[in-house]
Amino acid sequence: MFKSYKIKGAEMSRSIIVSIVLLIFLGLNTGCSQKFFAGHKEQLGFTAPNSNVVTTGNGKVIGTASSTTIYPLGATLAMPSFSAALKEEAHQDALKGTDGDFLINADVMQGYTVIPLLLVTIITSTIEVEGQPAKVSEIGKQKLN
Amino acid sequence: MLIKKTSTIIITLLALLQLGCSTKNGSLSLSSDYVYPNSNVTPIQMAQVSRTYFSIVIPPMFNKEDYYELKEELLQQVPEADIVTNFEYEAETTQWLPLPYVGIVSPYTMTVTVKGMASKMEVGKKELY
Repeated sequence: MFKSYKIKGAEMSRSIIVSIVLLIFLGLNTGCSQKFFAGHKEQLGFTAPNSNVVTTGNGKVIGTASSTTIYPLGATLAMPSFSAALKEEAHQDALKGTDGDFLINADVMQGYTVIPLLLVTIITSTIEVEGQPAKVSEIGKQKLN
Repeated sequence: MLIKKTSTIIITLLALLQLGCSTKNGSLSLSSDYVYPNSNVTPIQMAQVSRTYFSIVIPPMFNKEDYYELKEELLQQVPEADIVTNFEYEAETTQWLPLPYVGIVSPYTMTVTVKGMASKMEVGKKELY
């Protein structure tokens, strides 16, 4: 009877450990995700009024960039961050393989995934830009009076 | 006595139905689409479109498809127009019945208004020296 109780206790400890490990893995897989439309931008690069702008023959292209931050338990600023650098990274990613210098008529999507664990919260922020590549074909001088 | 109690409850419920808290979010852009420096832009007329979205529990989200639908609807009002200049977007979200406990299943409405000057854009090549 006593021996049987000891085995049950060991099994129980093992079950608890297995449960904790499973919970951690479950936590890793059950992050809450959100993706939303962050706006339409007419252009993602400056074009001088004294220039000619043409679109490249690539059609619409998509670029993405993401960053992950690990926040300790109790961090009050644990929120997704969408920095200018991340936006520019997505912009440059979209322009890869095209002749364009910048995107015009671009749609910006922002998304994030939050994974709350026991001691830390992992947040991944993602930016996606979709638009038409364009380039300045000529910069000259306008006649001004 | 019973009639008085009943009418008090009805009046209270009707008053609660009027409760709603709103928030506005908007933006102002130079234009709805890219304006080429090598183009001629001719303003035609002001145009405006509004649409209301409804949801429960979570406030309605304005997505990319909604944006294009509203812009197209706006441009359809002025067939010659290609773009909208001084493009204004305004979204007013209202939570109805923002009460403790009841607030969790609140109905929401979001009215989106887009307006601006419908204009025609002709792209060419600018002579530069």
